[in-house]
Amino acid sequence: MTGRGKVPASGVSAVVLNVTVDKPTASGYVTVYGGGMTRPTASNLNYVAGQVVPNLVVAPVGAGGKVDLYNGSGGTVQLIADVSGYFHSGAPAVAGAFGPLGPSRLLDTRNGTGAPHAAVAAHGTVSLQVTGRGNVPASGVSAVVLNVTVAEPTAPGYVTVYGYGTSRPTASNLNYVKNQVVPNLVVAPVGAGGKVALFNGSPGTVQLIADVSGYFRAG
Amino acid sequence: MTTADGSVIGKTQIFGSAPASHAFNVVLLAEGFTTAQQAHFNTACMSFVQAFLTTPPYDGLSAAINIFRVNVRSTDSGADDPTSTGGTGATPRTYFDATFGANGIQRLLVCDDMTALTVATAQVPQFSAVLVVVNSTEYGGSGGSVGVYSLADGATEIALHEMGHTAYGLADEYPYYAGGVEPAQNHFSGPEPGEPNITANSVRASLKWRWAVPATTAIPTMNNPDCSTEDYRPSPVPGGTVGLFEGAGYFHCGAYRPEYDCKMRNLGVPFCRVCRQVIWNDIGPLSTPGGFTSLAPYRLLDTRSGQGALRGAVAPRGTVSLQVAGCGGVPASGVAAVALNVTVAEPTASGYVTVYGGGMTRPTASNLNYVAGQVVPNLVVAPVGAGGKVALFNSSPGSAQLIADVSGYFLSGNPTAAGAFTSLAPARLLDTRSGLGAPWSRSPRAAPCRCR
Repeated sequence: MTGRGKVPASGVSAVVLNVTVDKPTASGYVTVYGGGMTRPTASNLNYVAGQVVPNLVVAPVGAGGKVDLYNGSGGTVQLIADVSGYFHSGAPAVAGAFGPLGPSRLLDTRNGTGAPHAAVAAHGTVSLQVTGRGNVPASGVSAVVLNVTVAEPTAPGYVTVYGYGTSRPTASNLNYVKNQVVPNLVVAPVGAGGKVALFNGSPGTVQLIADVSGYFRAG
Repeated sequence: MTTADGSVIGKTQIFGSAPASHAFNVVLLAEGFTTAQQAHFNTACMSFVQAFLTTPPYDGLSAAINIFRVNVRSTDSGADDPTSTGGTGATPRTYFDATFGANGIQRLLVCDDMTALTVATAQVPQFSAVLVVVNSTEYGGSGGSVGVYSLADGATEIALHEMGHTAYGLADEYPYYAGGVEPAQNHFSGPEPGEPNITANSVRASLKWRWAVPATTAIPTMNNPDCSTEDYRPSPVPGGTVGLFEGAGYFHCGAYRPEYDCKMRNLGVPFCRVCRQVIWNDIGPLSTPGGFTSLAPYRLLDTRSGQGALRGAVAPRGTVSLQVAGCGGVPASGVAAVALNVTVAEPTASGYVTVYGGGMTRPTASNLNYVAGQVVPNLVVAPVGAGGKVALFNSSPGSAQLIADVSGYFLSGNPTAAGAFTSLAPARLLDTRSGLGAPWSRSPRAAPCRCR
């Protein structure tokens, strides 16, 4: 990825990619990670056969300036990636600087990772500890980059992600219909106690999964 | 009583390492300190530095802040303290001629602004704010072209409050002038105040800090039931909630403030959300080129309701020009890119959306894909183009509603720091359908991978 599309050949820690799957022949998911690194338990896109699905990805740049895209499907898929920016490498020290991570899974209500092992109730909220987990620093973090996925929704709805302890805003991050699996990247402000709140705006229950791929430093 | 009553000793930088041309430079001037009392001034300056850099939002902006002290010798110690406002009658000979009791109000401590600005200019030509530190333990301060504060209890709080006036044009949010019974302060009348943190407008849709007000918060949030005095009741909403609270700018009624409390209203409490944003907007662009500032999500665009654009679905192959700079907590300038969650709703046909910088050429890239009737969101890091705008193009032969929520922004400049972000016009790096960037999946020998 480095050296192309105005991305410098070196000094890049992560790139912002909009990844789209096209013409999948079977259901599956895509995991995007640093070239040459171990493929993590995380996903970026989910699709069923024939669907065109994009998602923004903040991908760490691995060996040789590469990003690996893994097709976790029994079928084939076309992949498209559009770059819209990059982060400078080095330890993030100043306010507003980005530290790329993993990705790693911080939340999975299907197995009790990061929250109780249960579907999120209708109009329920999950408070997710993000600081001090998945290599996110314990303090000095203003926001985290999360890929949030809904699974097994029993009714249509939306998810709003916001800083824990702050007023829930009039905004949404994911929209879904019954039984859909839908991910979206979220830049979530970190609220009180280093937590992020995820609100299920649906009359049905839903499983929530969140993979962290980086953080922004506070001052 | 003039500059003949002392002399400038010199300046010392006591905090910061940012280039002066690209920093918020605070200058502290000694007033009413004798030669023997200069160490006392130095100690007071360090107390200010400690308080300043631990007060939000300054605590997150220290990389762009320099603080200088200028030692100035006065012949005598203290400040003038006229008996007419209840003072001691002292008239010490001091360099900046500070005096309590301005405008008949004992706590109003002022000095010779022109002399202060002259000294600051000579010592730190690129100063951003000047604070005159007055060697008195009597409570007092003021904030005009320079800020003035005394060394009373909580002196650093006075300094931070006065700098709110001097550096950022913030209004006093307290609802009285001299205090006590003052009928002239019962009702605000006149045009809308120019300051960013008080208003006479109680209409949610046009409120100047509407971006910070949750939809669930009542507007007004608190009305004063007795305009002959200030409203002493507790807040009906949790601390930190932005709304519309009556009583501000020296008036009991008719003028409003954004939160129940704020450092521009009471000392010892944090700056409110609106004041923090004003300060951040001023210093933030100086802090880290490419640095990210997180925002509470705010809906900038909703074509279903007419928020941010004309009400109504976006036409086939139509483009929405969305103003982002200056909206929803995004600064009016100095922003390279914004993090937007863009949602398409009610599309009447299949298509995709491309988001790009306003005024730029639409790239071969896409951000959302949809079929008729689908609701699909996706996060977008969008470059901010001409006039602080972002363009959203609907490729479809059908119409579609578009919604965009902002959750943060990246500062412009020349990003060099580790972790800083460089925004790029979207460009396609990989397309396995055409073989761009990777082999054709169905004919692997057709094109070798050209990725480096």
